[in-house]
Amino acid sequence: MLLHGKNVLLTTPEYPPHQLGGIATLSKTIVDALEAEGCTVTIFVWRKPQEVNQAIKNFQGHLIHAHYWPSLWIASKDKKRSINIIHGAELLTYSKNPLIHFIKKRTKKYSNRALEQACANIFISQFSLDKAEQLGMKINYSRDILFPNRIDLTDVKMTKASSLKDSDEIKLCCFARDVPHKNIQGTIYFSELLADISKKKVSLRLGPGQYRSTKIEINCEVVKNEQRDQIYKDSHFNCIFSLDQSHIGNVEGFGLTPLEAAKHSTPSIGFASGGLTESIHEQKTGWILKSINRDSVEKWYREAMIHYDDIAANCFKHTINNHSSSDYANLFLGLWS
Amino acid sequence: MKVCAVFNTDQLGGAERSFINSLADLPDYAKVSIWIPKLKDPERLEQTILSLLPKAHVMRFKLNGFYYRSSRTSKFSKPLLLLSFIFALWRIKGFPLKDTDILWLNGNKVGALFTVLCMLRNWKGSIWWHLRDYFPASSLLKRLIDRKTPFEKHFIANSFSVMDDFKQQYPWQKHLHVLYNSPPQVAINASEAREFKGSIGIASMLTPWKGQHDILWMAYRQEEKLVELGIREIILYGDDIYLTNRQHQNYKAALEKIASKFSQIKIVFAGLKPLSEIYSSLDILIHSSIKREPFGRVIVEAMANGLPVLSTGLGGAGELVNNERAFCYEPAHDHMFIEALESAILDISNPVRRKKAIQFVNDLQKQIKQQYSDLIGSYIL
Repeated sequence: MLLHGKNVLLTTPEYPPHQLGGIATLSKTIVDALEAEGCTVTIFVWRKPQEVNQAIKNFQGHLIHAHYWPSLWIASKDKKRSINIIHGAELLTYSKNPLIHFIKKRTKKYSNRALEQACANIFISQFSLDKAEQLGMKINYSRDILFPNRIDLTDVKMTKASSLKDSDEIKLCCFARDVPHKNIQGTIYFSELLADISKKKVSLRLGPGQYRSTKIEINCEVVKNEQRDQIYKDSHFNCIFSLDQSHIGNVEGFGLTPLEAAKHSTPSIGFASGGLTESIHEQKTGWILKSINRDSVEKWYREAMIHYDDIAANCFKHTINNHSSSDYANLFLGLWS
Repeated sequence: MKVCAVFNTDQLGGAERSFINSLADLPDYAKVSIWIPKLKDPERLEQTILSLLPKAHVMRFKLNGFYYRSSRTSKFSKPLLLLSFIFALWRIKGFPLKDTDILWLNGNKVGALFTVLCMLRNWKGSIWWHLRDYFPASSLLKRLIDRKTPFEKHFIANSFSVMDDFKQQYPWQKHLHVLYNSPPQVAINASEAREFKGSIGIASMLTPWKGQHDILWMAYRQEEKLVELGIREIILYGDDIYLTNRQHQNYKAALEKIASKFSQIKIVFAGLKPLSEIYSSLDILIHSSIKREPFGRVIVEAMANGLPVLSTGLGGAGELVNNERAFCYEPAHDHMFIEALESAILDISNPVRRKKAIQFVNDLQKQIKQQYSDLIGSYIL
């Protein structure tokens, strides 16, 4: 028990089961990992970042902020004992409201200063770290650390990937919210091209929404968390074609679904956008496409048919070896020593 | 053939060592004059040139250091850069170009500067602009490169990765060549079993994109495992040798802070040392660049000296390393890094990959000879 006796307060805007999403998943993963090593963890879910001040008022121990905004509102002494997890999009200053956008831009230096006072900032991708620097943060490599996302891999076993060559159907999945930068329409277009090129039946499992296609089968029923693992297991590919819309405040900092899918030997296909190239290692654990058009999908499909089994095995092995949440213990132990 | 070779800096780094080797390989009928910009302290570079090219005529020309620093400042970059460029141009206005057939420019700073100088002087000859790095996306540079000139512009990339990147920006440029940095001669016995003494290290300038912090953080988190593997020390060779701002400021201090956390493994900041000392002190070399490396000369140098090489294999370095002759890992992937180290340590006593690495270095030398011959051939034609 590496962290026995440590007292930690984790603050987050999302936590399962009431809220789901990347930050919720990451928050729970960190909590479970710390508790497994003997930590006592208190979770504080905030609606407004200022609320955190009340929670930390009489708290003696270490602070971890799964989203860094509370750092802007807490006292200097609390900033110094805080560890912030930086994802990417929350660094951006865009807002639909022009006045808020203006204020955010003007006050960016203050949020940078808040981060610069932290005990440590954990960036989930090099992309996010570079973005922070581009936006004026003074990076100090003894404080600002790259640590790609981890997931819970307890009791995970190698399962044989659904055979691609022998199958009459290609099964795709894409668990993403129906927001523009997640590019669900692009995913549907990709699936339709794939159906055309492969001459096989293509089915696409999406999150809840209103989607239609005459060329592929789309299933967008609500998926419970317990069902996701089975869907990943049954799928041939996980799709994540998120767009880099940094100019309007949306970008994929890392992308958790490639790790979740890889747990079941399901490789991922994505765009070279945001931090996705750090979540999917091109032709080692998945594929990165530059664009979705007939030529690129055809070229990719030919390669996938040849290398699918290897890549499926690789993505499982890579994830098991390198993205286990048990690594968080060493990370935080090192930062608190 | 009269060649005027202009160095991009007065410091001795990988790019400069490669340039010296290339100049040494020029045909005998080429008359070479060598120019070094006087910035900080050109002594070491000059001595190295003369040791390999004793008959070389080495001269210095004045250039302002601000021209190098100005491109890396965050605010007012463009106007400051233009101002420093004009001042630098004024400084070199009397540079002798008469009777020069080839102006070989070893980097972008001198590349841009001398291209404008040659345009202003209506010089007729051939510029060989050596791309030692990925070409920056700059509207100013774009206008310069696309401009019609009385002289030929040849672009020499030090890897296919750099050339492909340049081609994407300038698909209409005709004279593109690849000339790998030439490795040293192999001087060791490929089959000789060695003993692992516990020293691993990095040899490159101290700058964030070279990834020394990534290695120290991973090593710190996995210190127990590294000690079990027999690692006693991590040696960081190099310094902040280029005149730069922003990213590099306080980087060494940050590394020293990470180093102070170690309790069992010694972290040594060895500074600038001769290559012979580096490759005799280390058991394993780590090429830790976290961004695309244009080439990665240190990889082939280490291979030629029989050291196992760990590498992230990004960019041009990916043309040098694979899992048959080196040990690849991803940045910030602790377990891949440990696995690569384990395999490298085993290879020291049972040198399977070392033999393949040495074969690769020998093959690379042949490949470079052909590339060079093609380059000279293109000029003669």
